Amino acid sequence: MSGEVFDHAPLELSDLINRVLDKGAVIAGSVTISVGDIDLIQLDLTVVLTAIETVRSAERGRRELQGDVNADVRVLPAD
Amino acid sequence: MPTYVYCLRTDRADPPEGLTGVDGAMVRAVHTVGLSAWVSDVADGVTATVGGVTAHDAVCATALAGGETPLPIRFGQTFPDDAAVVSELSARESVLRPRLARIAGCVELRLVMARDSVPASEEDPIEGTRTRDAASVGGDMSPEADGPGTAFLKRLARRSRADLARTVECEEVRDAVRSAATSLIVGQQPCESARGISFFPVLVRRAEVDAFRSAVAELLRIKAIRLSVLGPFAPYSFAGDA
Repeated sequence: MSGEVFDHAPLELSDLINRVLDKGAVIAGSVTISVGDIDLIQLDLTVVLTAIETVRSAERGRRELQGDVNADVRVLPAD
Repeated sequence: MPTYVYCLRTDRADPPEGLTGVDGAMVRAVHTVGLSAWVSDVADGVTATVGGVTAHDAVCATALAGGETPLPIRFGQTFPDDAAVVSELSARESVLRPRLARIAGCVELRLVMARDSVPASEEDPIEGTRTRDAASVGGDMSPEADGPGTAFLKRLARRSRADLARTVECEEVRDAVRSAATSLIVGQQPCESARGISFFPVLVRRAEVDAFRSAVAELLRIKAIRLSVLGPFAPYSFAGDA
């Protein structure tokens, strides 16, 4: 099988979010941003959202420890 | 009104007239003795929306297209006013200048591997996991059924194994790329894996982007790899300390 260079828009958007939210120079020593409840979390992508994933993992863990295992896992698509 | 910072440069170039950034605000330059920052006014509190992230990156891309390679600033950094930006930049100039020097004349390319390079059994099928979890909690009372805590930990373990497998595979690809394009790579970062995608950034001289792409394409012709080369971008991944 030969290798392939591929491009598609969802990948680029995922990469953009990871790159801009998680990389880049920090001037003031810390960055404080709020995560929009809608825009980013409803992206239906297999995303490299390390920054957002941290927030969501904490939320899922909290809910699952409370026994609410069905809550909020649907926003992560399998593919 | 707070001042939002996009990127830094060592020249005194002003943004193109009419360039807008986060929330549609006009982008302007703030100058210190040795550095310039492209900034705009912003309301209190910056929300990480797709539009905001895209606008931030567009400003950095414009700076990249218009002259020297800018030092991109991470999304979300605001200061009380322009004077505070100048004060902070002046205080940190000895740190920031070497970073600008390191990326001078270069751009970032990001090599991204698709998730299908790892066997499906190692994937983390969230919907399937949810079904199993629901069954274990709701109706299946067999001794083998996992409780929610066990299911959660198993899911974390599956995800970790899958990400680890991807990272290992990605590192092998990174090594192959490094061997194939050594003279074209100014810098690179280790692989990262998350949500089924593995990637690694490389720093390449502007004039050699096409040559690097050709080297990668040649490598892929003989390897069973699905790889996307994204960019060029302002070098976000190389904007921190070396």
